[in-house]
Amino acid sequence: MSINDLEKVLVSYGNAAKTAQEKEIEKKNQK
Amino acid sequence: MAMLQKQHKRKKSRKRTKNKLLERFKVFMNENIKPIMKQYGEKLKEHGHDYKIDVKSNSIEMQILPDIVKRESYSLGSDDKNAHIGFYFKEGEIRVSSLTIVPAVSSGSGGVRKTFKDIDEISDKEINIILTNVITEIFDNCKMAIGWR
Repeated sequence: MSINDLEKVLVSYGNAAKTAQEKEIEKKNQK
Repeated sequence: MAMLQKQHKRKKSRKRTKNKLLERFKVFMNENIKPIMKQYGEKLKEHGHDYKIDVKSNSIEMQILPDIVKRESYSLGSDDKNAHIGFYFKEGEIRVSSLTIVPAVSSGSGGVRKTFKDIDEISDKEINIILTNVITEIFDNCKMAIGWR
């Protein structure tokens, strides 16, 4: 366990946040 | 009388040992824990998050502020409630305590994770493992917060 593992965690979270944001925008556009 | 004197001596010796450990902890805190916490904090900043390190006479605490908390003003208003990881000198031992609950998510945990009787038991590697584990837990909770909305 090191800072490199943290990097992976943060990248994974960033991707999930981006996807969630895109979904939210998509939902708004559909309305 | 002799017994009382012996007890008093033992008490004094225990106190001296405690004080010595506290002094060593203070040095360790500033020379080992703090730089590693800073390294992790800067990594968080690189990814758009934030952190705060609070050093007191017998403790060091790192608050982890994920972007979700900053962006959506989920902060609970009190620093004590922010997700954090801390090393505290208490009752002659070093305690590692954490809070991984992120506002808007009810899962997570808080409390003492580990205790060390001596500084020699805590290596830089150990600090890295603790920080990585706690921050990973916090961001796993953040992921849940995103998924649930």
